[in-house]
Amino acid sequence: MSNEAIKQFADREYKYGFKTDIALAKFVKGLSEDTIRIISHHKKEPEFMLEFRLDAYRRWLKMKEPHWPEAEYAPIDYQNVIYYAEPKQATEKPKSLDEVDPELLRTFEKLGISLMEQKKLAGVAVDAIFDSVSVGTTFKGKLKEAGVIFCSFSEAVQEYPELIKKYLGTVVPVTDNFFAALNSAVFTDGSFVFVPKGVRSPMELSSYFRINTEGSGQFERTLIICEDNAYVSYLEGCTAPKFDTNQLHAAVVELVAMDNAEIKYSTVQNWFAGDPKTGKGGIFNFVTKRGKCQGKNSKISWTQVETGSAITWKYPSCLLMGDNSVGEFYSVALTNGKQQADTGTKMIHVGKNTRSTIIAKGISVGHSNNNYRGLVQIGKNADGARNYTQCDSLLVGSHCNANTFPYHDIQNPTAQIEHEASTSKISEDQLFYFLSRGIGQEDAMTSIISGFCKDVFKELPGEFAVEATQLLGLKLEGATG
Amino acid sequence: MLVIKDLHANVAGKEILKGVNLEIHAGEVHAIMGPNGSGKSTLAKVLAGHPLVEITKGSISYEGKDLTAFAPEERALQGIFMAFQYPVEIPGVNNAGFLRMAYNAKRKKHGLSELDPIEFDNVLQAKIKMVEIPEQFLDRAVNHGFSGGEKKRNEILQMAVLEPKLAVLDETDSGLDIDALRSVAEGVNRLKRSDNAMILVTHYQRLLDYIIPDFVHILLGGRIVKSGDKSLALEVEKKGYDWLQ
Amino acid sequence: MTGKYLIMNKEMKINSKPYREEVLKWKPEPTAGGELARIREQAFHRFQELGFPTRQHEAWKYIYLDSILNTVYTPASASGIETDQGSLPSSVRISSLESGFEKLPHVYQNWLKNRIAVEENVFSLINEFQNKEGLLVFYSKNMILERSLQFSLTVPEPSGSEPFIFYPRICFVLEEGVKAEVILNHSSFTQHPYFMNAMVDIYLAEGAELRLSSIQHGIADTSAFMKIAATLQKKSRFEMISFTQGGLTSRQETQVDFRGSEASCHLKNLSVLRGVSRFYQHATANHYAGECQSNQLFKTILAGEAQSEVNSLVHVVRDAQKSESRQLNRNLILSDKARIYSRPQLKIYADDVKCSHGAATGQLDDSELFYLRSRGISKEQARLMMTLAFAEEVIQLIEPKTLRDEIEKIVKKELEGIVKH
Repeated sequence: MSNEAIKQFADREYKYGFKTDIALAKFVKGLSEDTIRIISHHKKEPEFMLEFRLDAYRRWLKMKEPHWPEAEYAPIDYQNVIYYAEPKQATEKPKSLDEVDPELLRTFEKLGISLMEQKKLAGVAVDAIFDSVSVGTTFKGKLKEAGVIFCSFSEAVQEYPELIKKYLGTVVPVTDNFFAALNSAVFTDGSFVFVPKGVRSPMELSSYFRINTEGSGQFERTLIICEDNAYVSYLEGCTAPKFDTNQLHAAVVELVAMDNAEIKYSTVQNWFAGDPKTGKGGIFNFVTKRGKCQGKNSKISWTQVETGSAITWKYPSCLLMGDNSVGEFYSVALTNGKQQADTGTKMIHVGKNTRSTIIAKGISVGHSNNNYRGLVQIGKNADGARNYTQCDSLLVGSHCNANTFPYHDIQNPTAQIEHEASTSKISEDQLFYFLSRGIGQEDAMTSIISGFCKDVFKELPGEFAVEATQLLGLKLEGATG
Repeated sequence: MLVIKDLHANVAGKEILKGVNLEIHAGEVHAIMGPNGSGKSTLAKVLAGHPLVEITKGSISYEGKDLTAFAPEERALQGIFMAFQYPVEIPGVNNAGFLRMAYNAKRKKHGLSELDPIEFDNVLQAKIKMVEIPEQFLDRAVNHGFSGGEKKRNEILQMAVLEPKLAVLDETDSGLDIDALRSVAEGVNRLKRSDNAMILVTHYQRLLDYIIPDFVHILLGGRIVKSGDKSLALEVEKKGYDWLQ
Repeated sequence: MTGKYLIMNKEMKINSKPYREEVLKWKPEPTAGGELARIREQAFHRFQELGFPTRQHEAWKYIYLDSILNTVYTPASASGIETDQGSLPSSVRISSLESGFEKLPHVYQNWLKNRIAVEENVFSLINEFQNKEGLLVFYSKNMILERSLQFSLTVPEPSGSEPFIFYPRICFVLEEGVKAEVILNHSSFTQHPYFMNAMVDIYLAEGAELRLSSIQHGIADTSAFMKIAATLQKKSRFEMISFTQGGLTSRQETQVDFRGSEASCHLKNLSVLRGVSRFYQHATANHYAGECQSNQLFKTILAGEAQSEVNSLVHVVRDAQKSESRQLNRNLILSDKARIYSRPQLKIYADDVKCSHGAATGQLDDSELFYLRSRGISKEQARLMMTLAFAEEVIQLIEPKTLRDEIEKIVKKELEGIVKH
């Protein structure tokens, strides 16, 4: 393949890099117990929440920031982060979407997310989060009729404190890791989903995260609970403007699936990745996502398309506690410019006859660094556990790299574990085949790459599959079918 | 339509074509025969613009233009089509989608609007009937997991969709049993028109029982050593290539 | 020269400090001079710099080093390497490392110096400065030795009951075009606890070929660390087939550095672990030059409370184009108390490569077992047959046949014991 073609492919611009000029009502910079009290006060939280936060903060102070061997970055100054940024709105709190600042709505329109009732995506309910605050949730009424609770986390704290108290921190303990502890102390908003017994959510639920304010961190918290025989499919999308400074995104996502429940969680992450040449700016995407298959026959499925962020550390994991429970992880990680991604999953098999599948596709372009890191652990009592893992890496150009670090820890003789991996480049023959049919270099490459990712894309709900293919620069909806 | 003059070409630094001369007009079918290593496939590749073939001397003129000045995709858009000897497998890329991409690239070149999947399906349905290819072909990934015969038939389907002016069929008969060969040949015959031309690159005479060439050229040691009509192919089959050296 | 060649450590010294402190007391010998002495000092300084690894280090994540580091070891009174070499042509020279090293051409001296300068394995560094008498085996250009040379890492019979320690050290240098076969044998039946820390260096010049069979068996209360580091020049070929029965704590590290193009390495290991054996196996292929091929096949059978780590890494640096690698790790767990850690890793910095790896862990296939039993074979016999079949893929590669038969017998006996259990 010609170097020119690779260069063109690698040099495409980030198109979500615009910034919305919107007045901020409040913002809090620097980290202390006071910061946490202010956040909690702003949010009018009950006492147990403040205690949860302060406890997390005190534990965080004693923890050390992790440094993975494969990533390089300048130290984070935690005092120089804006922990809370709330857009100024006409009224104290919008009662409905009509009261939301039109500038905000236009921002989401520009991102392809319409919050206006008449333009809403068919069959998808959206919770839009701008910096630290949820600006609106669509289709709430229709969901409520079905018995599904879908609202911002702040609202859930007010409306359903018992549920929050019961589940918050039960999947990702406060002390799980440095960034989870930080999130537990300062998280501002996020989404809450509760699907009661026997209910299948009538539509896809979706959150859209947008970091707008320079220097602000986004610490969102998502909690999804599916009771017995319940089902929900949840999607999240993320973007941020271009800034020269790095912004910290340290989210925590907790999922709980009871007997026979199923949660499908999809992410299309396209945070600003920093300047592709200098590596300046971009999001540090240090998130903790974990699902607990607590009930028997429960299922949690993670699908992620990670194309943005300067650095991504992310291991959406499954704790397979219930017998016959199923964990899945489908991932596409595309790195370009000077991006560094270290992503993968942990499948912890505890219950009997638990099964997990891992399909990870890494594409490295430009000067980027792309790592798969994943753990498959089969516990002593996990009789009959099965895992299948497939990790494939594709290198585009000769300045990037792709690493694969699988960890298997097997303590049960009845386990069946299979792992396959490969690393390759786009083949000259494949490329020539496209060219000889009159298809240009760039289309050919994006088509080959999307073909490479097909096993993952097919797991995405319809709307997101399209977005994901477009994200990879693909104009060929049909070719990936 | 195509004029090749004194063409010399290298592959990996080794001279394979050593002065090929050939002229092809619209409506003609030319067969190029020769033993292994005679340069047949290199000649096919050089027309499609394969990056591994380096032209060291001579010229190729296509419709009055210097063909060598064009990239592979530009040649394809100008109506040159190569049916590969070993069609490449492209996992994950849907066959119908791939065809639509190629078809739309050509439409765009001619200033026409691109067809959406539904509109294109109408085009495809007619073509798969024409070359008698099962519809399931369309839902599979390009050549992925296809048998040898299926791959060759898929090439003919692409040819039917793209309607090239000049088709180069590189050993399309190799690896096919007699039934598959017949079906591929019938497909090709249906695509023959007075305004297009074909080059059949082949090792064996048997393909020429089904697709009757107007001219037969024998390529030996990188040169065309003898040209004639269909009877030359039969003669070569009987006597081998040695007498031509 | 015929008969046995035994290198002995004659020094008698009683240590009083646990290992972690004792090794720090090392001082260069006042009389020592020359390049080797400098290398030893360099190794000591690097060791001081790095310090002992903790479980934070990825390469030492699962091993329990404390029991070794806190033990007071006495240097073995008569340890060494024994070789039954028979009569050798003059183009194969075996000498002590101390006497032979200074006579080596600079290119080989520099090779060792440069390798030690970046050595990451602290125990290899310790071997470097602690070993008293190493062995140098030198094959001159184009020498083709048909028969294999056997080197035994002899375990001495100690006088007291204290745990003892010894440091076998061998350096193989194969000049251009040499073809050779070598057997490394570490078999021991002593009841005394000991710690062997062995280091083997291999240099293959252009076109050289070495086939190494490494056998470790019969070891009970032992900690045995061995590092094998091979540097491969252009078009050379390194094949290593190893069989391990483990020990209390065994660690084998193989490092292959491709320094010239079109070279290849083939690493194959079979481990049969039972009881409380712990075997930590690390293999790294560093593709510093392009167009090289590395193949790794590691098979492990675990029974009892055995534990095994298989950590293999293929590292392709920028511009090492057209590198090819295959890693395969297959594990068979036969007991519910055994535990396996498997980590087949890839670090790829060049785009035109073909690298694949696979790992599979499982038990005997029920349908195959049933098939055999339906033909009248007892369950026990069927299990034995299938387990043995799993091992045969590696056993069949062992040369010469006498050694292969010996290993096959050992494995069979082991498996009979395991399967009956």
